[in-house]
Amino acid sequence: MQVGVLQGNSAMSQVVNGWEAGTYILTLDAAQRANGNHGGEDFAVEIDGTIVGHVQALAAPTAR
Amino acid sequence: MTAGAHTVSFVGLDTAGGDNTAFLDAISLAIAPSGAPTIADAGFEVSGLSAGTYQYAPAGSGGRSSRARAPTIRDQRQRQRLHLCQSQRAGGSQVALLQANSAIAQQITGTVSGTYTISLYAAQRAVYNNGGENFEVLIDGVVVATINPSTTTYLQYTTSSFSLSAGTHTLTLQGLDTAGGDNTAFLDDIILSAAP
Repeated sequence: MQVGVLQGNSAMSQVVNGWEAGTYILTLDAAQRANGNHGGEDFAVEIDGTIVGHVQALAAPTAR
Repeated sequence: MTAGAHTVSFVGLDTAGGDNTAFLDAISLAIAPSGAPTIADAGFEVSGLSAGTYQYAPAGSGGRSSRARAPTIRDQRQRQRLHLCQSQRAGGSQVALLQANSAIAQQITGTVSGTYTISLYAAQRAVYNNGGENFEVLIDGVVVATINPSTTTYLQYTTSSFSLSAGTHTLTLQGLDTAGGDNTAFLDDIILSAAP
């Protein structure tokens, strides 16, 4: 079991192949680090460099 | 989206500053249902201003004004030059501003009959304000929330739930300037969500 980590201004990108033309919804699970945070991390979701969402996870269920 | 390959990126913003970490998992993509509603320019990105520029009532933003100072789409990278001095960032490269009694109106299309909420990010201008800007959120002319951003940091504000019929509606953000004088609030990232 692994998860992605965004810390500070870090970023991660993945190329997704096989899109059909249309309108999409992207969903994901996110959580704040349970300790050591200072206000919480937020992040932008981008498709081909265009921001399509802004996420700030509310809870911190996962240990540091 | 067009057919083919696209790059999905998750970019840490760390709006709060300092040592902050979030964990991500279970990313999925799905074709949106045909009834999914959309807001014309929810992130105020359409006007496409160059870095270092700003514009009152740009085409495509839905901005209108009842006074000389109209709503503005402003490139946030120029905040410092404009003495706004706000270091926090919401999504995208542009934000809208409501100044005094100016207003922004945008169409919401594709709603299905149901109950919804609207969320948006808002912040007070860091300098020159005289008590702060407040504004109403209206749907088809009916007030569903009055928001007075509490700080100069972008925070997300969410309305109480309200009902929408199927079809097209008008979202209006109406500056009130209850405090009087020169007051400005910045807005970004409007989200219309079906209420649980």
